[in-house]
Amino acid sequence: MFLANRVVILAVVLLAVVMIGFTITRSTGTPLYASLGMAVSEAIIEQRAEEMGLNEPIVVQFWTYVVHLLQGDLGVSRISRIPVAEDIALKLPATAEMVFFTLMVSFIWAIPLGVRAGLRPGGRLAKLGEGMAQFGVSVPAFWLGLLFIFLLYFLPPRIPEPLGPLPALFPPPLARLGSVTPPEMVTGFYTVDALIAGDFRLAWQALWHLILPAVTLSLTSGPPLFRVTRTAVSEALASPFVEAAYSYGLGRRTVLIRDVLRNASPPVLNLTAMTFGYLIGGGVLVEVVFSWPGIGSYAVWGMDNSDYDVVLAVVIIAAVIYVILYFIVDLIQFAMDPRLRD
Amino acid sequence: MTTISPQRERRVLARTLVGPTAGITIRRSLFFFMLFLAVIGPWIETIGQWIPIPVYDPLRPDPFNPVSPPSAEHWFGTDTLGLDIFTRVIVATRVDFTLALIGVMLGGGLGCLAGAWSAYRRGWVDMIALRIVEVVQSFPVLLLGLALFAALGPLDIFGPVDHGMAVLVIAIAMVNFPLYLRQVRSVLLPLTEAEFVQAAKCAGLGAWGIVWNHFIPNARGQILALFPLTCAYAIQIIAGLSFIGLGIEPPNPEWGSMIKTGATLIVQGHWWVSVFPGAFIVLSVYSLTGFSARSETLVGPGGTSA
Amino acid sequence: MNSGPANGALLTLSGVEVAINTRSGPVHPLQGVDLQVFPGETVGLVGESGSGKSMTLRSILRLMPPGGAITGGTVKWRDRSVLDLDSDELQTYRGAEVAMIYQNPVTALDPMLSVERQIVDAFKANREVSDVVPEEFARDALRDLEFGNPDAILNRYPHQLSGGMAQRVNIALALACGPSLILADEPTTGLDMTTQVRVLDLLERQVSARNAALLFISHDLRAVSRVARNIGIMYAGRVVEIGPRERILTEPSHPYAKALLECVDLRTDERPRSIPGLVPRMTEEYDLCAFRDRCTSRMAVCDEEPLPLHELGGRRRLLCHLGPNNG
Ligand SMILES: Nc1ncnc2c1ncn2[C@@H]1O[C@H](COP(=O)(O)OP(=O)(O)O)[C@@H](O)[C@H]1O
Ligand SMILES: [Mg+2]
Repeated sequence: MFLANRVVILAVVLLAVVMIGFTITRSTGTPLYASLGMAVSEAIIEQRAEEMGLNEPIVVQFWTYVVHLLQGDLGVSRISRIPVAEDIALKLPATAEMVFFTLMVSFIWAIPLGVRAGLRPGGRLAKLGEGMAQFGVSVPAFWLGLLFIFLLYFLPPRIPEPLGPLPALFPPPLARLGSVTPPEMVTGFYTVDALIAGDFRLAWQALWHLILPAVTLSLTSGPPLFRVTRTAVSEALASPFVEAAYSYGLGRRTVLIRDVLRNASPPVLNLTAMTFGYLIGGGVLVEVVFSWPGIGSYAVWGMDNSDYDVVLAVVIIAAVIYVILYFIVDLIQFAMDPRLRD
Repeated sequence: MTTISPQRERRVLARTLVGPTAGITIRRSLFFFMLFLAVIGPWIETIGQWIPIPVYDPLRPDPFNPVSPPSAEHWFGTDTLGLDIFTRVIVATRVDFTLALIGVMLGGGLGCLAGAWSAYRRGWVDMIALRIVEVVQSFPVLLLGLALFAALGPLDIFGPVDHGMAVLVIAIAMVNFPLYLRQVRSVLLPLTEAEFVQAAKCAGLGAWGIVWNHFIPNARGQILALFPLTCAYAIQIIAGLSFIGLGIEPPNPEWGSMIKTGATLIVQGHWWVSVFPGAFIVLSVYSLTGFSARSETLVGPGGTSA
Repeated sequence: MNSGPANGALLTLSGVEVAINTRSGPVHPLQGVDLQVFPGETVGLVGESGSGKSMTLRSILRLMPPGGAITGGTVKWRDRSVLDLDSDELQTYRGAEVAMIYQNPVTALDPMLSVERQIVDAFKANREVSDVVPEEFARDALRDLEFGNPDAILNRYPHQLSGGMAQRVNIALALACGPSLILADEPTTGLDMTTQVRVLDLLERQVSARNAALLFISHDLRAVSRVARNIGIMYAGRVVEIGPRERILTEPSHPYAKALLECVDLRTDERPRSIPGLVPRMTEEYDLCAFRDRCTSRMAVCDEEPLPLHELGGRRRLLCHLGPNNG
């Protein structure tokens, strides 16, 4: 029942997302201008419109659009003349890798601190977590990224005047690898691909370049994770079945893992997956700041060049990924929580 | 479940009670200071003539003083054009605050009405409302803004209103609409069957009358709690979009676009161009969130990762 | 404080005080609870809700809510002080010596674990695993509690159980620990009338079959008088009168006990009437009698002097200026 419901919702939302994409595409008139450039005569425009099926009824047009989408046709970049789908296939792994490592970083601080804060509210670590959450919520990610770049550039001991200024003791790790040749593509994650190729130096380099964007994004996207974990743990801790478990003589550790963490985990997993889905498109500014060649930078590039097919393709891809992840979260919940299974 | 000594417990209690209150007082004062800056913004130059604070015309370049570090003449330094960052950061306060306010009121207001309506009607109205919320929320906020700029970019529909600002406001409104809808709906859903609502129905009050007279007042607390948070969030979105060149274009003072100006300078060590506007964003957001103790409820995943 | 270990009591509470720090200030739910339980016997505690019954049970297991602490008195298990146990000893004491059945049977079970897992875990935590296969033990445990189809129940999750079933599972859990004393916190309150009688019966039989003692708590005098040989009356964090069932039911001394009895007609199933007035909110510590505002026999001395303890012999005790039964 729960699942059937969810499948319907998934379908409805996907359809709506695509419809919005379609409407925007039409309203910007991109297909026409994209294929023509600007200065052409009315007659040519009319002819092209006919060719492209823009004079068909709107329903037919929508149907064609959906069919194209399903075939992976997201249009052609007006500037580079490369199919947008191909570009995205190259750039999506970059974004995914960054987001993946962002979550790794959050797993290091937000979730452990959240657990701790839930177990011991008012403790030192709870305060630290709340402080970090406050900070992360107040600070714009792109600005924080800039600060990090600045600090890396100028905090290391600077060489005094006669020799200097030699700023780049540590060149700030911009882009995915700087000017180094990337490993052969297998998974699209440079860290993994470099390991597959057996090149540890390269893997390390890829990781080094990931650290700043991942830390930046984690600090700003981690606060909800911290807070949800804290709330979930403290709620689980206060539930009667936890006291009951203690009363049967189960040990602290056992109760913590068996009852508290287990019962606290669904909302945390839920939010983790949603954060992942969200950051796929939500890390735009951080990608820009770190020259990260992901779909966010791609969309901004498209925007700068009035290449609207690019922008819309990214928007739709990000939304679809989000919706599908949302659905997967539901599946996980379903598998984890016996109450949902009936 | 462990035995904690009452003394220690009392200390913890004292801290949780006194601590945040003191902190929140500071944050609220900070907010009123920012508000003050927003109010005086446009007259800053005039005010500068009466008090010994170095302020300038926020739009007049000083070609002899580009990218100069903070000094007695330019407290926050100058940017590439030699514009005074201190003045501009203050003037920008009003821009960011106003746009955020208008956007939130627009989207939030509509969201409240839609939320109340959907809680009142339930059934398919409610279902459609929820689907709309889900659809809008499945777009990452900044990409939503990007898409809006792409969609509305070629259209000239706002007449005399600045195009970029108008689109910003719409983007903020779109982000806020589902937030308020959800919140209000969840508060009011349990009330639909409440006696006073039934009584009002019997008394012949129309649907909108009930929503207006009985529902909205009941959700007031929730709405007020959400308001400062969403304003803070809106400020971040505005700055974020301006940072990628959408919305408010230089040389008009706005925090995000000022940070953009400084982004390329920061690797040369000219930190002040980006750092001060960013610090003002942080201060605004931090002070605004001080108005709501329930900051955890803020906006889904990613929160403000704009 | 007089009853030393020599008299063979399993459990001795003397002068137990509990304080809880809350947002709105301290609460003192227990203000000197005295109580004894002997091996194999059944003791019942009655009192209006809020009188500190649950808190008494929690203090026996040293399970305090956040912000709560046992601030005074002693809890003795045989001849050891429970308050001095270290965490390992406490873990052995909980379950294996004293196990508890909770008031709300459904929320006392972990919603994400199967019935089998919960019984098996409780079993393993308290008994050296010998030749008994825990899973089989779990099945037998359910059979003992009159589940017709134990195998099906073992695979269920708490939300798939009715209130009565959940309460029987809770009883099975407590029994699985193999305790010498079982604490039952209003085990029948949420259940309907027929289920109540059945669950109570079962509990009684299973406890006596294991020669365990039972400390049974309820706001319902009727339920308590059905199972308990000794009955204590609680009011405002104190046991104001305690004694053998017959004495308490026929000639109570404390005005509050009298009032309670007057409210319930033990021969019928009618809903009890309530005593006029309200239970104090326990935000202060009472030196004087806490019942005097509602008491119909209030005297001048009640407003002046702390409560005197009357030891009436045969484990009868009374906290009242009136003294033992005088009409
Ligand atoms: N966690 C808690 N925090 C604050 N007060 C509590 C807590 N638990 C119990 N109390 C207070 O302690 C008193 C006794 O509670 P309890 O032992 O649950 O009563 P009973 O079980 O007799 O109904 C009540 O006044 C109650 O309000
Ligand atoms: Mg109770």
